[in-house]
Amino acid sequence: MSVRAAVVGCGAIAKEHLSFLSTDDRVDLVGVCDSSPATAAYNADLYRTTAYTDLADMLDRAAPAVVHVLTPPLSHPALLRMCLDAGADVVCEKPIAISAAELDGLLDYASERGRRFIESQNLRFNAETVAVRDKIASGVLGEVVAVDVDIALNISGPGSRFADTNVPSAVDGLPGGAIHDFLPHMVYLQLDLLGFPDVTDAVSRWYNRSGVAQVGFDEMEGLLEFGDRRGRLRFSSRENPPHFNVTARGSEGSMSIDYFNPYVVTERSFGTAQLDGIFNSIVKGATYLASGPRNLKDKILQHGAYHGFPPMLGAFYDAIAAGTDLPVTTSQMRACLAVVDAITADAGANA
Amino acid sequence: MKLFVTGANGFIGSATVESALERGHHVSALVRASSDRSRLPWAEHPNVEIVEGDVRSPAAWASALDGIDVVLHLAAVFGDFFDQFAVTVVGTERLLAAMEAAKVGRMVLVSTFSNYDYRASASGSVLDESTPLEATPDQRDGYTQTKLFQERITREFCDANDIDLTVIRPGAVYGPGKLWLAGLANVVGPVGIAVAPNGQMKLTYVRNCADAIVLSAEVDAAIGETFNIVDDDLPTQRDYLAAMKRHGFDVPNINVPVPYVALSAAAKALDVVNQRFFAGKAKLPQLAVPAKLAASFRPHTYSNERARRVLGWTPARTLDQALAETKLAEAETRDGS
Repeated sequence: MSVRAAVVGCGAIAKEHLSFLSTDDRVDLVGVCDSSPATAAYNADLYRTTAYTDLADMLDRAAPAVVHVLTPPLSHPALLRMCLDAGADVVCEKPIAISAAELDGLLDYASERGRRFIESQNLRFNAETVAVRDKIASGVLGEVVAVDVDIALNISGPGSRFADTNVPSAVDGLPGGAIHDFLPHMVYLQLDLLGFPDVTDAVSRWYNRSGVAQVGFDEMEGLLEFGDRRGRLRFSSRENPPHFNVTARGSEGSMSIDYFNPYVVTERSFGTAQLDGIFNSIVKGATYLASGPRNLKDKILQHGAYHGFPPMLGAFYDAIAAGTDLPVTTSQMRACLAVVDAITADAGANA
Repeated sequence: MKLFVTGANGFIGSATVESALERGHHVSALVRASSDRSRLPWAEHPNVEIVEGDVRSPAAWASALDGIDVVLHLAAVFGDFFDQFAVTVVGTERLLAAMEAAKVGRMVLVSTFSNYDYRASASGSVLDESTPLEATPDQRDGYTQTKLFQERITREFCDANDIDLTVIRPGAVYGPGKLWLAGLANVVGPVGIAVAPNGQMKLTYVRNCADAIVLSAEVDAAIGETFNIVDDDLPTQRDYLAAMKRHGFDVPNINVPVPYVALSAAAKALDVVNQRFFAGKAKLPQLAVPAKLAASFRPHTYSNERARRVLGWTPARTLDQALAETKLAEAETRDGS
């Protein structure tokens, strides 16, 4: 039997959710809601469902068992509570909450009502992430001692919606400004490849290099400690070409993912430095060479960075039907928010 | 009349303000805070009030609608689908609500020729206001998708709220800073690829188009009507290229003609492959997508008969006059004079 699902908030990311919800047999899409009647109507037409402009009305009339909350970040807690009150489980876009304390409040609220929710952590379900996680589990990299995440994206330049000074800032109220919109991705990928350890220390520097007040911050460098392991988070608006790299460094080798032009590069230790260098150069060269045509094919077939959504949402609906653990667990969400708290603690000082 | 012009610092919007002032109207010009106003020739005109704001955020400027007779809605942006949706659809929705609150009873919506279904009528036939709108917008680009939906919600809102509506669908608008290189599909160095070089171009000079927009606010018979706006004596691509060359514009020295039927056959073949092997998911260039190719290059002829008859509009500038004016304006811009 399919699960009745609905969406609130029909911005850009809604396309990824609605593409799944409107085509997957496990789901019956019963409504879309947006404060803009035209936006709701457009999406209702496109995905063959009913349009609503008021969440309470949709919860009452469509009676969804699951609601996807895809609205701007600061609205998440209040809307999530409304959905939980109506007896719905929730998939919420990132960041689900601004702090670990806020997340704990939401978890308690859901628990009291016998309901569950997840924060969307779609990149963990991308094929590249799964491949690296599997390799780590197989022991190929030895013990993973560090995971670094590095994004370069011009969020403060012309054409960036974060830097649009003509409308109110979409990231106003987020401690990390526009970077905060990317921070959950950076943090959950880092934690995933480290096995979701507790953060023990963090230091960070936050900058606004562009002078565009609208973005809050556009450059950040953070160092984290997880006991005797560590990780780095970097975000730059000035570096080119744009990239989104994650590197897991282990005692026997390392693996790097590029999410913008997907490839996974492996470097191994074979015991002799001379052979390591030659062999790794050949392997890396072949990987880069093969990734070009594959990326072209992916672009033509529109297999993009969001391809983790269907497996994540599929796993969510399987778990809902079976009553098993959700694909993003409570402890994983808590670990992420703990790192976000730690890394943004310095943002205020740098503001 | 008191006119409120959205997108007033844009290519057509700025010319529309100029035309409205020449015809003695008072203009409230909505201009975004981030806009460069240094080149607006009418910025200091005594009959212009510049209203700073964005069509998406009417709270900041809605009071400027008080006492307005007609809203001329031209605001648009370039960007991805969602950027265009935010301005073209949501911005229009908010503008309409603000108009209704301020009791503004008349609107001229500047829509687009792109909204037509270019495959609905035979190649070479007249494309006019009776031509069906695109029935499969998902096969067209984000611009067409959002403009089609904008027209739909505007008509629905105006019907429901007794707002008099006129829809203007300009063809390819050209003028200073925006010269269509004769519909060339591509330019590589000195070589241009001219698809259907003998096809008529749906051109309108920006000032001619602006005159039609302002007239449609003045003429009561325009209420409830839709007008295609193209100039008289439309040139073929070949003629337009020759005229540009005559007026000293840079044009490719060599133009390789490609018959539309050849390109269309290739696009249809690729579409079959896409549907059969990739479930239609392959994202191909514009020239390889039949609906997009047809919208850009399928040979049609175009008529401005309705605009001439109902509005009493006559395109004031010929192609040669328009290109001469454009050359002069571009030289002045370059010299900073």
